Amino acid sequence: MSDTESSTPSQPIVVVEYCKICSLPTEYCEYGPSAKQCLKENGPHPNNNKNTASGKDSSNTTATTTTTDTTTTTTTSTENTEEKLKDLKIVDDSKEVSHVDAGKSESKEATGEEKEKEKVSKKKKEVKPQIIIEVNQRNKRKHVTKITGLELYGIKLSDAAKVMAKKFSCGCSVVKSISNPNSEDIDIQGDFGEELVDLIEEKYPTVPLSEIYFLEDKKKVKAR
Amino acid sequence: MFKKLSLKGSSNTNNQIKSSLQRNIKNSILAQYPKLKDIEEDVFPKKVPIVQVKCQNHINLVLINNEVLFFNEREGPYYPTLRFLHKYPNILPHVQVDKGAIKFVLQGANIMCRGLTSPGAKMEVDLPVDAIVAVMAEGKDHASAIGVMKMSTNDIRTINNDIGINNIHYLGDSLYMSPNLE
Repeated sequence: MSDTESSTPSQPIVVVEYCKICSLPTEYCEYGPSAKQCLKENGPHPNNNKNTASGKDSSNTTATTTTTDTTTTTTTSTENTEEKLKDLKIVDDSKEVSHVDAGKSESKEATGEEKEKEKVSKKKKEVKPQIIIEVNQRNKRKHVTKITGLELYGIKLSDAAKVMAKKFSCGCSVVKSISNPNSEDIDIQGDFGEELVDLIEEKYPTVPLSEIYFLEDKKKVKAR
Repeated sequence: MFKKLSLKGSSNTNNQIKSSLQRNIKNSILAQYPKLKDIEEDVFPKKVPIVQVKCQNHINLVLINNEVLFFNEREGPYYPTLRFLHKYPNILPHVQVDKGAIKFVLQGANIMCRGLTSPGAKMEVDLPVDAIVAVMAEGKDHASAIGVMKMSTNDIRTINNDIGINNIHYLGDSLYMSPNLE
């Protein structure tokens, strides 16, 4: 008897009911990919009908929204008059310009300014330098790591390639970029994605870690 | 971490490893999770080999009886899988998120401090940075994810901004959907 008692674990195994369709625990079926099918198959889970604190909060929020709606309706009339007053322009009679034309010319000037601002903002966006690390599979077990954008931080690519070749003890070369023929990339023979970030952090402190990205399935993912 | 789980292309990924390495893995897991010592026989049965599978991005899976029980990244700590955690829920400290966060946690999002301090959430145990936790959900009995504390619980309460827990493994990710590797 004592043997059987000792063999029984102090932590009993919890038996979890998994959904046959989505394979999540049945209480999480509503968040699964096939929620409707699961509902038909299993029926509603008792845990999903519990009145929790968040449920109470939601009822409060609905009440507040209704009150805010009523307040907004009262203020609309005053807002309309303000808008109308904004559109009015004072024009000298001495100048031979109609009231309508005056409004148009001013609006044109405004749009011109906006366009200039947009151009400036676009330029700013374009200038933002990024380092993109991409690991491509060359063979079943062979990988090539490609780094683009190092030269934007004033780093000599040939020197960087030498440093990386020494550090990772592998072939490392400067290659013309496929996407942009004017720029150059560094190709490293091997999968050194994570190690590269550490090396850049160590050797080139001028490069902000927030600007280093991995290319995974044509999507940029922040390295750190 | 497990947006895509793919075994490395080499033929010897599914290795039954040396007995000394098996011992090391077992000891490090038991050292990390002291509550497993009571159920050591159930988790690591005698004469059943521990198999290590190497995946991409330096992830290693620990299999016993063709079932993934633990995983780690490089030389890092071992994390239990969610299915294993569902069987033995007390091996990790629990942190509860509010109902609104569940949807995002199950999409793999990291857990923000607001989701841990709002009315539906609970942080009953004081935990340090880098502690491994089971992320429970408001109104649910089982863990929805396994995470690593990015801030201590005290910091989460005081700062109450930005990411509090890094989501490592969640319900519906590719590791969860492939519990047996044959």
